[in-house]
Amino acid sequence: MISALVCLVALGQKAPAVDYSVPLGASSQFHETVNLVKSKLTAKDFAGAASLAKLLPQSVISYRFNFAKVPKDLIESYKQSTSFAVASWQKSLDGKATLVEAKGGVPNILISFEPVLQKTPDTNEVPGVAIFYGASSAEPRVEAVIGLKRTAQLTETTSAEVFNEAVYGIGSYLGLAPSPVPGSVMGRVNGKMVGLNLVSKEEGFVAEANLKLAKALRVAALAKTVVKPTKPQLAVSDKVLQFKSAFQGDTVYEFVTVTNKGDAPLKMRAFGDCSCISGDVIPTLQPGESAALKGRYRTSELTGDVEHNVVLVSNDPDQPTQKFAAKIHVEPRAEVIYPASDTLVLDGDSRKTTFYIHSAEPIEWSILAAQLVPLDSKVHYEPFEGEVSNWKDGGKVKRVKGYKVVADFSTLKDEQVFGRIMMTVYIALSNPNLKLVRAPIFIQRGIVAQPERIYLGAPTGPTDSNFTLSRPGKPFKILSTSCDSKFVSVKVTSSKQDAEYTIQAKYDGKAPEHRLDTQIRITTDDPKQPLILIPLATAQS
Amino acid sequence: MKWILPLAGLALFGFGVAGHQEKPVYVIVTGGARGNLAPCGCTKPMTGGLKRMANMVRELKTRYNAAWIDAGDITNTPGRQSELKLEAYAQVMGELGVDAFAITPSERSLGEGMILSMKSLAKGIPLDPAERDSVDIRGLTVGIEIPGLPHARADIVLSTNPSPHEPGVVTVFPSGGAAVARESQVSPGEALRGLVLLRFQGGRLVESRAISLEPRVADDPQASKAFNSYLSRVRSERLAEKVFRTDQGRFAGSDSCTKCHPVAAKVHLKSAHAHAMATLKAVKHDTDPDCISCHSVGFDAKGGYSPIQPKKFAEVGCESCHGASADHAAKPKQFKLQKVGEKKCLTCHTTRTSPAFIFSKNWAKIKH
Repeated sequence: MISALVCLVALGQKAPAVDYSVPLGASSQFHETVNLVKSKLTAKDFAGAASLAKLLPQSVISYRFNFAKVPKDLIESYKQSTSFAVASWQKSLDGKATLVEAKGGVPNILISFEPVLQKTPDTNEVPGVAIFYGASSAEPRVEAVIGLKRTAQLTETTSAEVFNEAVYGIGSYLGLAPSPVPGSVMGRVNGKMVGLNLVSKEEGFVAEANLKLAKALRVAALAKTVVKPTKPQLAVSDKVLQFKSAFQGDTVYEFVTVTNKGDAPLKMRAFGDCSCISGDVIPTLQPGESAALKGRYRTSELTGDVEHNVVLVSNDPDQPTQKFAAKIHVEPRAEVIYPASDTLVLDGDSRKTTFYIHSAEPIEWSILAAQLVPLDSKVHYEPFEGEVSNWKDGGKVKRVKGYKVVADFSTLKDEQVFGRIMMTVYIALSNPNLKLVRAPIFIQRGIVAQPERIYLGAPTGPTDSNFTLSRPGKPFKILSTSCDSKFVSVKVTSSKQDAEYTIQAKYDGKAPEHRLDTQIRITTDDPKQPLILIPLATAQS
Repeated sequence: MKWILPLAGLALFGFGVAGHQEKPVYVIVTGGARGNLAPCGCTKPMTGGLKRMANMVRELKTRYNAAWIDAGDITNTPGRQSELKLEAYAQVMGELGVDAFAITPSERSLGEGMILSMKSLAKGIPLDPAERDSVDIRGLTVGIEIPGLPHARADIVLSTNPSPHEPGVVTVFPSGGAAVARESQVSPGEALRGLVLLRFQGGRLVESRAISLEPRVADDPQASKAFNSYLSRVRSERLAEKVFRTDQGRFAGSDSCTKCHPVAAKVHLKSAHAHAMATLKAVKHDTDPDCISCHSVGFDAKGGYSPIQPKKFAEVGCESCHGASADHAAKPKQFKLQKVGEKKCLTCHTTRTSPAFIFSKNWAKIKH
């Protein structure tokens, strides 16, 4: 390094200026300590600066776990979790810092356990961890106290949760700010955590940048360099991105203004909490500068009132993350409204089903043609304006302006309908922005099993398969279930309003060569279908 | 050992080299079959298929101790054949030990009963937006994105949307082409022509590699049994007899054309078109509705080919291209036929079924 500097001086070039700005993603505690060190350097109190700089993350980090209050039967699994937490960070730091277990003295990080932590006054929930920052050499810089019970229901803390809290504690020492992204180390939550929060790439970068700044400040204190304390300050014009109403499929933009009112560069990154929304912002704003934080909604998969968030992460120590509610109302270009159901049960004379095409968009359109595929059937349509109930919206009445469409299956022969068939009504419309609407309709003849044949694959032992027996909108009762094979037992496991039953076929694994070609017998209270036979087989060769 | 060449390529990209830091986690990503369990097989070379996919999955699992996730999108249109395909695919997932699999709208469109059957056969953990949207596999969280809702927070997100998620999150989406592995956006491609192998280290994606299931990848014996069982079921359920037929006019049969068009008939008899059904029989797909339509006359039309009368309208005949011609045969001057061109050929000779098809070259073989 020194020889490189000598070379630069010899060539008449300046050494690159040291960047003392706080990185994006750093915590307020880290930022505050950095500014305290800088204040000492400004005041030329270099010994004081060196002393304070010891509070910043070191390249050799000592840690200790205190399991004194952990029940004996949990110690082993908790030890594994905490060791894994250390190893996880060690890998992510990739040699930039080393975690070493403290044999004696005061460690940089102490992780201990308490039976239950105090409820948080604002939410009244029992947190999973409490972080304490020490400011003297007599105490650890970070003490993470993990509760043995957590949540309002006082559930026992699992080993996965211990891992998550331990990596969070280490992350806090490394100066990382809490994150709004669940699943990341700093995105821990007080509720139940099922998965392991592994160190993300971003978190690894922030830790590395914090370590680099800490080292630069220690060098500055030793070299007696004057560094001014500065900090960026984020100001926003609004906390809500209120988008104008859009039609489904539109891509729409909205923005708020962000300003750096501080005296250090403001570093930012924006992202959406769903792939339907994204955020875009200039990455660095100099003091006094303003820019737009732009949100973009892609509405192809959205309808109705939608609210997601654009998240802005900045290096403003007082507000490291800001959530902007992104609100929009998306109108479907054309809506298919089924008054009763999207399934037609062919039964006697009941061979027609009606639905409505409604466009909320104030444009002129009419139906040019309509066709039902794949079966031969007729479609009738006529302009309609009035109120209809919307089955998909729980039967709510909706004002409709558009067309009434009747799919007529009168000419359909019963033998053409196998099981449950999906038909599609293709409707060609006159407006170039609204060319085609597809309306799916399911038809079935009476009570239908799905799958219509039970397939067990190529079993090597006991196995089971589940299937449904249904007749939407027309309840029926199952009176008995059985199977012709003694190796298969059959039972009803659930029912939805007596119109759809889930049935389990359980093979005991004892059939010769595991070959089965049999049938399930189900009796019902329907006089037209008193006995339903459902074939059951293993793989055929 | 046919797979050795594709896998040898992986070593060049670091796969197989564990590195000096920590144990890597390998994840195989499959999906996007969209009803194509087997390549058409009509012409060579053909890529992909369930049997090759299974062989490659088995090898990667053995070689790298890889986890396996399937991104779904297994079928295309609802129908009984799609149901059988779904069960065959699920059977292979179960037999080879898939860790997790997605339930996507294409599976959902087959109905709740089929989802139950799929779950029973596949045995891995279903990522079903209705029940469970994420799962931890070897320290990695795999989630499924639900259209219109925030996706599950995960290291790997199975999505129908190729837009990138937050930094560090691997997005898996079905694509309309070959498998891709582009930074953190990966796709196993379409029609089982490829899969993707991911390598994670310390929870981060460090490498991704698209693997093409080329002809040199051998068929997996166990998956072959499952596929043959699927074909048997298609045959025993007589699906080819149950296709929906529309009114497309009356068919006359190629023999009727011979009287007035002897030269054209001679060209036809010498062409592969005249033996198209025999080709299907040789590979046991002659009762497979997926295949018959391009190997017969009027399979989807009333009065066209039917397996009940397998000799009538079998093979690709005059009316396969020129349309139902009984009226023309009876009154040729009154009912003239439309001329057909390249566009008509491309309805069967697609890039998937006939990758080597070049109109100018192939037309020369049947010019009449």
